[in-house]
Amino acid sequence: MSTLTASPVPGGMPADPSVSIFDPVHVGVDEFGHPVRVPLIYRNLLIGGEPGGGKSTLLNLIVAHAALSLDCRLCLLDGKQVELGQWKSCADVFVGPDIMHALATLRRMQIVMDNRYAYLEVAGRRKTQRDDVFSPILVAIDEIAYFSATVGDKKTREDFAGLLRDLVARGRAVGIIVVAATQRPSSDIIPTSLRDLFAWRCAFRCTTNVSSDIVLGHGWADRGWSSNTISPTNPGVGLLIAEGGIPQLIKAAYLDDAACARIAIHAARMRADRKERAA
Amino acid sequence: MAKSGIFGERPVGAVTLVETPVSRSYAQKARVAFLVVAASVALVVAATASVALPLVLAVVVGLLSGGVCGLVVACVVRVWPALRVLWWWAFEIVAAVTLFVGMAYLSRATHPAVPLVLLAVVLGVVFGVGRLRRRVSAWVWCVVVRHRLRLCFAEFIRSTSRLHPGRLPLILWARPTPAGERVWVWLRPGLDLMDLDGKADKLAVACWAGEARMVRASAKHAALVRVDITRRDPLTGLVASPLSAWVAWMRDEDAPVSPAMPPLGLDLLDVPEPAPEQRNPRR
Repeated sequence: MSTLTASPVPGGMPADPSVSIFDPVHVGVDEFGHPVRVPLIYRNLLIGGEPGGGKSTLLNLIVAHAALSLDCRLCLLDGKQVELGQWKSCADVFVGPDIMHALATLRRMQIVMDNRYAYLEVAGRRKTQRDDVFSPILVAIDEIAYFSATVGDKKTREDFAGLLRDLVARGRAVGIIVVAATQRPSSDIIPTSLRDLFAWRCAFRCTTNVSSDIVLGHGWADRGWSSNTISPTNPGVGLLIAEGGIPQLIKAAYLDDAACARIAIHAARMRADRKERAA
Repeated sequence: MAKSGIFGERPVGAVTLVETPVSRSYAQKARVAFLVVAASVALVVAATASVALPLVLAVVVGLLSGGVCGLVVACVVRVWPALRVLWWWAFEIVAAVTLFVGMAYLSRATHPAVPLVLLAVVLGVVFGVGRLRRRVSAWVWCVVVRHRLRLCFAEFIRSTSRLHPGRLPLILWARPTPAGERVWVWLRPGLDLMDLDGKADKLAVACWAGEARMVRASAKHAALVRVDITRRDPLTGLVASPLSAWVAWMRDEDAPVSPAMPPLGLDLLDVPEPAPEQRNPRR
């Protein structure tokens, strides 16, 4: 596993960070001050919480890690455009507030997924691995409710939810990682059959215990694990369910706009260099 | 009929170490334990002794052995609730005994004022040095929280008629965390984590804390439960991402700061009203 520490070369570019999407992603610290790293490969993550709670902070951290990982491709859907817009230059596809573009992209992803499974089947393998012939793809969706419950007609929304459910359900083994963020993933926003497929959850501050339970899973609030008690003046604090299956209080690391822009430029350059070398 | 006064049946100043229903239950258990152990040991010893001794003598030896073993086991079972109380107060008992024995020894070995001066110095250092004071305070809270949790669990069990009053969870140990305390609890048969669902707020109130969170502490043992008591928020500071360090060498000018798009149509007055939607005349 690579260690994400700075080692700049004096007067020039830093050494290749060689971050990989197969490495755990640093998402912040826990209440003991220990770093929290979450492996995302073969996993899907659902992020929920009220506006300003820290959803986009976590999403940007994950996308930043994926952008710097040359073994990962990016597919970004952002109804607001600005939350993930800085990573446009690193992404294979960037979808703005356009439901038809979103649907077309998810259909392409579905075809890619089927092709990858066909390849693995012929190769006699069950899942992708590090240094495989194809790279994992991170599908990051900010404000999923925009596509699944706001724009378009009923059919397009259902198509969106159905395609996404298929990606979440089947995409794991071929390296398709779905990370979706929304304020309240209740059944009127995304079908419960889709919500329940997300193994890992992160709830930033929610306005009620019920909302917190919708993100984390039923029953956690009764045992005291409710993101409703997180202070509204302390954004970035949330409850994360990842390895171990037990909620963990974390504070997400913060990347400001300038840092995101720098990382995006650096990642885009590295990707372009790699493309040139490959050509 | 029992004598009753304005203070009830108990004399003034009496302290209940073990509640009456619990005491009765353990007395019953002690009787059963005595009979079972005495009979088993008597049989085994008599059978074994009959090889070397006359039968009558072997039976007598067996009965005596059984009686002694049964009595010992019955005594342990009978006083188990009291032993549990001693376990609950073990830290305080050990601390008090150490303090008084140490002071008595020092005053006898040196001058009577020496232990008092030493105590004053120790207390002064503990209260004077902030870091030490916080550390001691955190451990004191651990001791307090164990008692508060025990009282709280006793109250829950008392209010749940289906649970036996003697089945109090065993409070194992507690340690300070940056947010408060973390306590490990061993649930007795008849209890599970679901019995504590919805009681997190009550635990927090009982522990004079902001929040309490319960979770299974072991994948192997369902009985081992962890209770996290939160009385302060250690996550208030800004956390930097290590990814920032990778691009620290880049100059600010490298990052785009000016939009490529001209700032037009950014206010409501700059945007014309859209054409009304065509409605279906049949509807």
